[in-house]
Amino acid sequence: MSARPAPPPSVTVGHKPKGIPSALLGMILFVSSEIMFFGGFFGAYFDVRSQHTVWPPAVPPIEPLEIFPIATILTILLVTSSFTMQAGFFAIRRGDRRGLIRWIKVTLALGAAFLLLQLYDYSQLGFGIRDGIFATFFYTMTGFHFAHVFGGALFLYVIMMQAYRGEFSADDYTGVEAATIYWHFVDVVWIGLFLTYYVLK
Amino acid sequence: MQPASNHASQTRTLYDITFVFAAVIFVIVGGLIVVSAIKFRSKPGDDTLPKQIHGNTKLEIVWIAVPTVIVLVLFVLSALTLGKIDTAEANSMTINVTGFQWEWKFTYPSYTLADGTALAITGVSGPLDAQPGVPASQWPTLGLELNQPVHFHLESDDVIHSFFIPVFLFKRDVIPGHPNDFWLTPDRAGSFVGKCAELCGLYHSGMLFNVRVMPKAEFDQWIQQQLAAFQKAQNACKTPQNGVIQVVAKSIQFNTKCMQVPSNAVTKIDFSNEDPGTPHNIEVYTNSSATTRLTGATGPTNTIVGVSQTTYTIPSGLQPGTYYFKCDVHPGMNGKFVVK
Amino acid sequence: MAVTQVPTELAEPEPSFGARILGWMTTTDHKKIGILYMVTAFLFFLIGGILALLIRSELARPGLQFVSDQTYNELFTMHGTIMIFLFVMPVFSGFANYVMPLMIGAPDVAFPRINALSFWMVPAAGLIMLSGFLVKGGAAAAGWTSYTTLSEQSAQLGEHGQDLWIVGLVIIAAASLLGSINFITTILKMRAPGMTMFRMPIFVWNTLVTSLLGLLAIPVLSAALIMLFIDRNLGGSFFDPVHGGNTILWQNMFWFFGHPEVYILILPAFGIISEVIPVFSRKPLFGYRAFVFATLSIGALSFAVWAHHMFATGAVLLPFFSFMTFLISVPTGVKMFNWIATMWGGKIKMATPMLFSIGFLAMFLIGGINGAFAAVVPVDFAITDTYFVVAHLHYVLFGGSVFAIFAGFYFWMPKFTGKFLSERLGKWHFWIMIIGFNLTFFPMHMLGLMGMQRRIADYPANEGLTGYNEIATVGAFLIAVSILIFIWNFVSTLRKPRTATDDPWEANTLEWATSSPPPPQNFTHLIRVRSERPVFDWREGRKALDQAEKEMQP
Ligand code: HEA
Ligand code: HEA
Ligand code: CUA
Ligand SMILES: [Cu+2]
Repeated sequence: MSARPAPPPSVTVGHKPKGIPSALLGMILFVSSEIMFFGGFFGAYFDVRSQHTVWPPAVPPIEPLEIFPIATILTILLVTSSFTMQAGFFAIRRGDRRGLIRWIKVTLALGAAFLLLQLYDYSQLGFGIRDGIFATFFYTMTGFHFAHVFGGALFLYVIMMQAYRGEFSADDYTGVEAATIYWHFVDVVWIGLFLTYYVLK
Repeated sequence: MQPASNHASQTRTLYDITFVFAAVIFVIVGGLIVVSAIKFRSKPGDDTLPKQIHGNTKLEIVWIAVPTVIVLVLFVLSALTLGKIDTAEANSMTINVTGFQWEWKFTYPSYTLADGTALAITGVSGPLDAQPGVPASQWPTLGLELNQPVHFHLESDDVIHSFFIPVFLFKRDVIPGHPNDFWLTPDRAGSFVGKCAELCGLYHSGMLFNVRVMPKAEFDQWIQQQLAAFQKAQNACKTPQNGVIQVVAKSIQFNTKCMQVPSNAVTKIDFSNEDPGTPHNIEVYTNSSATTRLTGATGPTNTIVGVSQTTYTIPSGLQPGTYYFKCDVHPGMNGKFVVK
Repeated sequence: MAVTQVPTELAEPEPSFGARILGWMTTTDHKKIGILYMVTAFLFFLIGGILALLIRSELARPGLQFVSDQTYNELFTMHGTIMIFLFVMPVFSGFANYVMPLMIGAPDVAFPRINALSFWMVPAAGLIMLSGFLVKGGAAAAGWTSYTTLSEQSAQLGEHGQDLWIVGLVIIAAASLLGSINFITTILKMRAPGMTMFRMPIFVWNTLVTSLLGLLAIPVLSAALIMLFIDRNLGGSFFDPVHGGNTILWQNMFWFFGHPEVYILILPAFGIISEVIPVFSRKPLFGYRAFVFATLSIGALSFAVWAHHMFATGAVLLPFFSFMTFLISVPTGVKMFNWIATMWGGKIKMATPMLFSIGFLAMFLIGGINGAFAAVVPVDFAITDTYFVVAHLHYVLFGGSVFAIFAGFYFWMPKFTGKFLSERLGKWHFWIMIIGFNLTFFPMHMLGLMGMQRRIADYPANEGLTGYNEIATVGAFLIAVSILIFIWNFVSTLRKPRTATDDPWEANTLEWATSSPPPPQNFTHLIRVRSERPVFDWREGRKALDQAEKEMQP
C-alpha cells in the first residue's frame, strides 16, 4: 500500500467526497485482511496445539520461553510506542506538525528498540525453526510480526519525511491516521503473540 | 452400481431419494427456463415495452420457503442415514489397512501365525501401464466374509490415500497421523475392485486391489491358504552367494521379505533400485518399531534415487537373532533380517 | 521507445506501435487495465484449455498413449490452477475494472496506480507458475488443492515446481487483495450523485461482495501457502505429522479460503447475468432487493461450509457443514427464480448475450443441483473424489462462470470497442459450445457413479468406462471448435468499422450513458440517477418528450 492517497481523479463529476477519505478506507480494509492473515496463523497454532497433550511437544526437547525479562520489555516497548504514535496523531489534528514529527521520532526509536531486542532474543533462544512444530510456529509467527513492525516503521518514516516537507495539517491528516491505524494493528498482533506464547503457554 | 453392503444399500436408497428430488427440481425449474425463453420471445416489429414488474413479495416468500423445506427434508434424511452408516458395529472382525505409495497392505489381527505374527496380505500394484504392467492377479486381495461385520482401521505412513470400494459406495481417507475407522457388513458375494481415491503421487491411478466377498466356508478356506502362503513368505530367506545378496526394489517392493546373513563373515548387499525417480534404501533395525538402527544404509537421508545401484556392507560379528529391515522412504517395504 | 518513431509518423494522429505498447504498459486508466486483464486471462484460458485437451486425449482410451503418469499429474494441476486463478479470477477483475466504475458514474477506480500494479502481478505470477514445466521434476503435480503431505514430498527430491506454484499463487493472492481493496473503496466512495447503494446495478453489488470475500478469505490462503513453503524449504513441520504437525490443517486452511473462492468465481457471473437478462427481456430485474440480500447471505454462508470438501476425512463435524451447505442453496435458488421471473412476461430479444445467459441458467441449474448431491453426506462418501465432482465443478465453473463471461463479453463488446461481434458467428459459437460442453461433462456423472476416481492418468479397461470417456473427449474437441469460432469472430470484428451507438441494446445502467468506447474520463456529463435503471428512465423520458412534441405539432 502506498502511503499517499491517490490523487482524486474526479474532474467531470463535481461532487465532493464525504465521509471517510478513500485512502483511510483503503487502509482499514488492508488491516482487516491482515487480521485474517494473522488469524490464519493463530487458528493453525491452536488447531495443532489442541492435538497435543504435551505442549510444546516433548520431542524434540525445547527450553521453555521466558516471560522475563525480554518478552516483557518487548511488550512494554511496543505498547508504549502505540501511545506515542497516538499522541503524534493528536498533535497533527491540532495542527502541530512539529509535535507530530517529535512523536514519530519517539515511536520510531521504540520500534527500532523492539526490532533490535527481538533479534537479540532470537539469537539467545536455544532452538531454530527446524526444531519441531512449536519452533516452526514460533519463528513463523513472530517472524512475520517482525516483518510487519519493520514495514510499519518504514511507513512511519515516510510519513515523517512528508511532514518535514510540510505536508499534513489540522484538516489534512489522512496519511498520519492510516499509519497510526497500522501501527496499532501491529501492536495488537504482538499482544496476541505475547499472550499466546508467554502467558497462556 | 449395485450395492454390496448393508450400508451401501442405505446410501443407495438415499441417493435414489435425492435423485427424485433433484429430477423434480430440474424438470420444474428447467421447464420454467425453457418455457419463458420460448413463450416470451418478442414478436418481430413489436417495439412496445412489456409490463414493468419490479417484484412480488408473495412469490419471493414462496421460493424462499419451498427450497428451504426441501433442503431441510434432505438434511434430515441425510443425517438419519449418516447416523446408521457411520457407527461401530458389534462383533466385527478388524482389518488393519495400510496405504502407502502405491500399494495396500491388509492385516488380519484375528488370524495369526504360530509365532503370533498377524496375517498380512500384500501384493504388487502401482503403474497400471508399465511394461509389462501389473496384472490384477498380482494386486493385493482383501478377503471378506459374507454377512460378517468388518471394522476397517486405516493408517498411512506417507501421504493421504483414500480407501475406496465402489460397490460399497463408500470411501474414507487414509491419513498420516490421523487413523480412521469405519464399519460395514458385506452382503453380496463376488469379486470386486478396490481403489485409491485421493491423489497420492505418481502411480495413484494404479493403486488398486481386489476385493473378494466369500461365504463362510469359502472364506475360512481362503484364510488358511493365505496363512500358509504368508508363512512360506516369512520363511523364505535370501542367503548370500559368494558373500553377496542381491536385492531389487521395483514398483515400491523389495523382491524379498527375508534376508539371512552369517554372523561370522562380512556380507555385501548388492541393491538395485529400479523405480525411476523414486528414492529407496535398505536399513536394518533391531526390531519392527524401526527406532534403533543396526546396519545397512546410514540413515533416512541416505537413499538412492532410481534407476541406480549401490552396495551396503553388513559387518561380521553381529549378534545372532532376528531383526528387521525396511526402506526408510516406504515403510511398507520391509522384511525379516536374520543373523545366524 | 519513442525513439523508434520515424518523423513521418510523428505527424500522424495515430501513435506509433512502440508508443502504443508503452501506453498500454504504463496505463492507469481502469478501462485499459480492464482490457489488459481480459486479454491476459483469455490467453491463459487457451493455455489451460490446451492442457485440458491433452488430459482428454490421454483419457480417451485406457492405457497411456500420450503422456507419462508424472506429466498427467502436472497437466490437471496446472489446468485447474490456471483456469481458476489465471482465467476466471482475472477475467472478472477485468469486467469489474472496465464496467464497474462506469456503472456507478465514477471517472476511475479509487487507486489507479495500485490497480495497474495488481494487474501486472498476474501475468508475472502466471509465467512463474508455468515455468515449472521447465525445471527439474516438472511443474506442480499435487492437484490445484495441493494437499499435504504429497505436496511436500517433491521438496525432498530437490524438485521445485511446487515452489514456483506457491510463489505464483502468493503473488496472485496479493494482487487480488489489492484489487479487492480498490473495488470496495471505489464502490463505497466514488458513486455519482443519486447513486445510492440500493440503486447500484446488481453487477456492482456482486463485485462488492466478491471483493469482501476476497479480502477476508485470500489472506488465509496466503498464510497456508507460506506455511507450505516453510515446510518445504526451511525445515518447518506445520503439516508433517511425523514432527508434530497436522496434515488436515492444510485442508482446513485451504478450504476456508477455497469455498469463499468458488463464490468469488461465481458471484460476478451472477452479476453479469443479472444485467443481461433484464435488458433483453426489457423488464426490470425481478426482486432487486431480494437479490441483494441473497448475494449478501451467500457471501456470509460461504465462510461456514468449507468442510464439505472434507467429508471423507473423518475429521470434521459432518451434520453442521452438511446443513450449512444445504442452506446455501436457498439464496442461490432465490436468484434463479428471480431471473426466470424477470424473463417471464417479458419481450425477449434473443441476441447472443441472452442466449449465453439462458445457457448459463440451465447449466448452472444442473451444476447447483449436483452440488446438492454432494451435500448429502452419505452420498458424498460414494461420489467424492470421483468424476461426479469433476462434473459438478465444470457445470458450475464452465456452465456457470464461463457462459456468463461470454454473455458479458458479447454484451459489452460494443461498449469496449464500438463494434458488434457477429450475431451469426455468435450463435454458432453458442450452440457448438453448449453441445460440446454437455457431451464432455454430462457423461462424467455416470463415470463418477461407476466409481472412476478423479486425477487418474489411466483406468482399467474392463470397468466399462471407455465409452463415456470417448464421448467426453469428442465433446472437449467440439468446445475447442467453438472457441476457435469465437476467436475468429473477435478478430474479424476488430477489423470492422465502429457502428455501435452509445446505447445499442437499449440498456439500463450508466455505462450506456456515455460514448462507445467511453472517453478517457468516462463521462462528459452525467444523467440523473433516480432508480436502479437510470438509462432506462432517461430513454423513456426522452421518448415521452418526443411523443409529446409530436402531438404538439399539428
Ligand atoms: C463456481 C464455483 C462453484 C459453485 C457456485 C459451487 C456451488 C455449490 N457447490 Fe461446489 N465445488 C466447486 C465449485 C463450485 N461449487 C469446485 C471447484 C469443487 C471441487 C473442488 C475440488 O475438490 O477440486 C466443488 C466441490 C463441491 C463439494 C465437494 C465434493 C467433494 O469433493 O466430495 C460439495 C459438497 O457439498 C459442493 C457443494 C456445492 C453446493 C451445495 C453448491 C451450491 O452453492 C449450489 C446452489 C445452487 C443450486 C442448488 C441450484 C439453484 C437452486 C434452486 C433451483 C433451488 C432449489 C434447489 C434445491 C432445493 C436443492 N461442491
Ligand atoms: C473455470 C474453470 C475450468 C474450465 C473452464 C475447465 C475446462 C475444461 N476442463 Fe477442467 N478442471 C477445472 C477447472 C476448469 N476446467 C478444475 C478446477 C479441475 C480440477 C483440477 C484438479 O483436480 O486439481 C479440472 C479438472 C479437469 C479434469 C479432470 C482431471 C482429472 O481429475 O484427472 C478434466 C478431464 O476431463 C477436465 C477437462 C476440461 C475440459 C475438456 C475443459 C474444456 O472445456 C476446455 C475448453 C477450452 C479449450 C478447448 C481451449 C481452446 C483452445 C484452442 C482452440 C487452441 C487454439 C489456440 C491457439 C493455438 C492459440 N478438467
Ligand atoms: Cu494412494 Cu491415490
Ligand atoms: Cu465448496
